[in-house]
Amino acid sequence: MIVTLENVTVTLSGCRVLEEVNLDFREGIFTGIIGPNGAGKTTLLKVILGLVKPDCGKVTVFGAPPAGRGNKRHVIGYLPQRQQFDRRFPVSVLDAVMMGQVPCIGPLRFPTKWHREAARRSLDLVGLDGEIAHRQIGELSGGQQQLVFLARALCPHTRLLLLDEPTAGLDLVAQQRFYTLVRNLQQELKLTVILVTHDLGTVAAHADELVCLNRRVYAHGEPGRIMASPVLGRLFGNNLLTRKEEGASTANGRMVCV
Amino acid sequence: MAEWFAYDFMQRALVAGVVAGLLCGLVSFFVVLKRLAFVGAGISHSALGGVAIGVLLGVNPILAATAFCTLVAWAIGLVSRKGELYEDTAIGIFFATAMAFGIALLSLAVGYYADLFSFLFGSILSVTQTDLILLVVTGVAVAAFLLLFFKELLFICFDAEAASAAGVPTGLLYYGLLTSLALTVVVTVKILGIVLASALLVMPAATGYELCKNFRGLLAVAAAHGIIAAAAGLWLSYRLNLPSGATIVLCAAALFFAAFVLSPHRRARRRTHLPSA
Repeated sequence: MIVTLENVTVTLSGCRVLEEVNLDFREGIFTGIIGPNGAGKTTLLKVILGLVKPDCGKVTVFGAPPAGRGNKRHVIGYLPQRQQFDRRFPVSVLDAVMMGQVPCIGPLRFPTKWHREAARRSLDLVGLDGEIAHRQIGELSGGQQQLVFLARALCPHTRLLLLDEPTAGLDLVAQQRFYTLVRNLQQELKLTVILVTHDLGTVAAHADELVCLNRRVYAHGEPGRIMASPVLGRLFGNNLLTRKEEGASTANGRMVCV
Repeated sequence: MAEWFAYDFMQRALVAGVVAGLLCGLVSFFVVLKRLAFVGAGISHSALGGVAIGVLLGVNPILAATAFCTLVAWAIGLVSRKGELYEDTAIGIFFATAMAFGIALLSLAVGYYADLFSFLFGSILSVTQTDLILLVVTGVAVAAFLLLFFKELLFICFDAEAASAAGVPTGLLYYGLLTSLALTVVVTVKILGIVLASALLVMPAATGYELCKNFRGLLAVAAAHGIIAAAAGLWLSYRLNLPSGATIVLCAAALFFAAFVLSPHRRARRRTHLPSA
């Protein structure tokens, strides 16, 4: 197992966010985490990253605790929720991707040509050509910026990729393209992917496994089984619009939009 | 050699101005990108409390101000990072309290403290050899910190959450940055004064921000701005018989406004009629 959570409980500002969560994430598997707002999805990722300390329970990432000695942060790529940033922030696309190399470079060391080449390879992987590397990050469209941040998360040592609502704010075409890209990268680079989203239909079509979370784990398994089960109704209420749509075969032909 | 540069005190003043300008230029890079301008103003004003403690205890006021400003900077950082108060609220409270504390303490000091005016408004012409050494040592220490942790600090300024996730010790580096800011403020107080010291912590990088799209250019412009403002301000203050600290700040402001008018960002926006970001 790449990531294991045993009886993890988290309380933030007096609110119980996660309760006795038990989860295993296997190597090379693309897992989608779904759940309503406030379900603890982002907190779960932060627990795996070691940014939030559980009240109780045990977390291991690559066999080590996520924070402190022996942590394996340098093999984890993370794409946080899309945030507004200063569009005039003075970094080029390549500079932004280079930031993902910081854990590989290490403290008190300076980036070398090898690191710059690795950053360029990451840009190639997400389909951004060489010319764009020298443009200011703020000059890019929202979809292109997400690709740059995905490239930043793909440093050469990355084995685990954590994505937090990566397609929020993108149009439908850009969303589909993003998911397809992540799926292809996961297979090509043999990555373990954990993706948090509200976009049930699309993630069901791309993920190997789904986790239904609402403070507790309601279900964990293959998308087809999860989408057909009544657990979604319990999670999101019954205000679900369902329609048949091609391309969601792993969800037994059902696509669920919230 | 120019007539004004023939005097020993002018030579010391010029060296002090150039070193302080360069140092402020470097520090301002992170002040502007991390939006710490108000923190800088708060720390510089709180230096009065440190100076007052030094005067009362008979300790070098600059050393007392160094310790005091560093503590105030950490307190601002601690309170705002814990989320107990907004950062600007914490600064507003701490710097007013520290200044009031300084004024109250100084009123207790026996007699009139002649140097108070120079601390408030700066006196670059009275810079001593010891002040110069203190300035250079502080400058080297601060520059070394910023250089050694440059990539991590830039990452924090751009995306603190992603930096934390990548294992960058964001908390420690933030306090390191605040400490650098406090040290820079204290050595600049002698030149620009408590009231004006924060100006050079903002204007150099703000000028670079107007002119450059990349951080390398911004850093170079900020360093050059600090040096040019200090040297030009000192020369003008000599020629026009004006207070040196205020003249340096006016030169810095003139450079900023020139950059603001000539800014390629703004000109491009005017051409494309895009609303401001």
